[in-house]
Amino acid sequence: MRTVKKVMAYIFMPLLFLALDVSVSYILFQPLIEDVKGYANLLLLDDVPDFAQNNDEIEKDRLIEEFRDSRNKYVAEDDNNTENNVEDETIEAEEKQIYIPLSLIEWPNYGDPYAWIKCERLGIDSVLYYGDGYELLRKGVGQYIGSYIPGYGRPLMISAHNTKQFEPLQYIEIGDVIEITTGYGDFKYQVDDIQILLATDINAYDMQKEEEQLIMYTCYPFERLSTRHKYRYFVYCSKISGPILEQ
Amino acid sequence: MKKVKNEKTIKIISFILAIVVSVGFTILSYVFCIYLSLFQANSIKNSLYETDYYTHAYEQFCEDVTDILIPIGISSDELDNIAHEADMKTEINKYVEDFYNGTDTDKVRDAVKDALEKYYKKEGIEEDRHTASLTKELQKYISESYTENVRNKWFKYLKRAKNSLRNNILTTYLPITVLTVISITALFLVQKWRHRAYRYLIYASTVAVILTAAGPIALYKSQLYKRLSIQPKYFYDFAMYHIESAIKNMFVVSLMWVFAIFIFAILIKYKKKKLHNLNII
Repeated sequence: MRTVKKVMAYIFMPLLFLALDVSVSYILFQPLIEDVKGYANLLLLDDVPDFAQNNDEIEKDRLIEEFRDSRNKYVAEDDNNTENNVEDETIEAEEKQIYIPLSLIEWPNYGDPYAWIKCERLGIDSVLYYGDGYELLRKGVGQYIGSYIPGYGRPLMISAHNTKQFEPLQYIEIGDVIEITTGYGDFKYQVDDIQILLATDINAYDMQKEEEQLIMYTCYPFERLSTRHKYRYFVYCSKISGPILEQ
Repeated sequence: MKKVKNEKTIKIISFILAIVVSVGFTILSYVFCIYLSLFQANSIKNSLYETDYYTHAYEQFCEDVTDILIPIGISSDELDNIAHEADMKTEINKYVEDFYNGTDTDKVRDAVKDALEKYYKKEGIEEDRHTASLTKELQKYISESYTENVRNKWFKYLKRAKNSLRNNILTTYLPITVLTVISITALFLVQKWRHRAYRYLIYASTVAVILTAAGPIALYKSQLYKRLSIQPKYFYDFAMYHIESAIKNMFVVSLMWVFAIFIFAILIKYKKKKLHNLNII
């Protein structure tokens, strides 16, 4: 009898109180709980946010080396395509058209330094970031993420500040060649048009165009000490060599 | 028979009153912890200090100034020291304390003007209408950037939550407090012996301990709060530190209830002994 009383007093009663307290509190504060749940759904991500910074001090040579190593992987895996029997690394892309299945390509994430852009004549030599936010344009050339990666067969739009990486763009001429090196291939584009358009001109580019086109743009005019860059300097280039990503 | 019925009635009434007290204790614990830990200016400032928030906000401002200057072709070195971390810290603290709407940008604007005048002189640039207009625009952009880094938008949301909680304190929590006090009083009045009332208070306090500790334990284990979509990283770090401090405070409050249980248990023993000595029980 005493044991029963003790069990009642020390275990059953506290548990009963706990159950009733939780039930009453839940009923009383359900609207507030639902509100908090609603806010939590809006604010909570699927996972802990990743604030990992891209390595600002990527060395150019190391990056190109990485690109070349990863490019060999894509070419070696493409066994089914007899046209792509690349036996020798030194075979130029112009001689043999390389096809790479798109499924083998890892689409870059925002902020990834996924390629290298170069124009020897003008001295443009910079990392190409996927994304064109302020923090990326501070470091290199940025790509508009609404455009496509090299080889996709659609326009690729990149930009940089006219006081930094794209300052030499003011000296570009029709016929100049721009090289873009990626992890899956080397691409070359030739300048075939230069236009100065309003920054708000929606006809400056067409992302739906089914043709691979490199569009480089920067603020215009190329003058320092100006905050009024109403215009953009657009350079349009057509692809002359590089792999094709097969969809 | 009548005596048994009376005793049963007293037990039921006591039970109900004790439930009310336990709900009151639990809610008041949560409100007390959340309001004092999350929304009080001093606790916020402490978390800002511990996570080096002021330094990071200042660094972010410096980066933003660089972003403003790059398209203009001026090196950020020319506009070094236009703001000081100590001044920014003062402004952030003022904002946190009373969320007032102004941020003092006069010093920053003056510093920008002085730095640009030195730059023009150094570069041999003649000061004219164009440079005057450029100075004015840079003063505007840079002071706006300064204000944005002082008045992080997430503090605004914190303020809204604080105001919402404060409004609820008057409409909901104050009546709960009054009800809890009345229930405790009624509990003592209804019982023949005081020590029985303390027993019910122990039950109510036990529930308060369990629930005040269970919430934080569950949150800490699930780490749900780490998935909050908060930017930039330095504000995220501050938020995580601040939330974890609040969780620790809830443990402290649950320990206070343990202490209260201990006191009630001693009082029960004391009262029972007294009654035993008087040969009443």
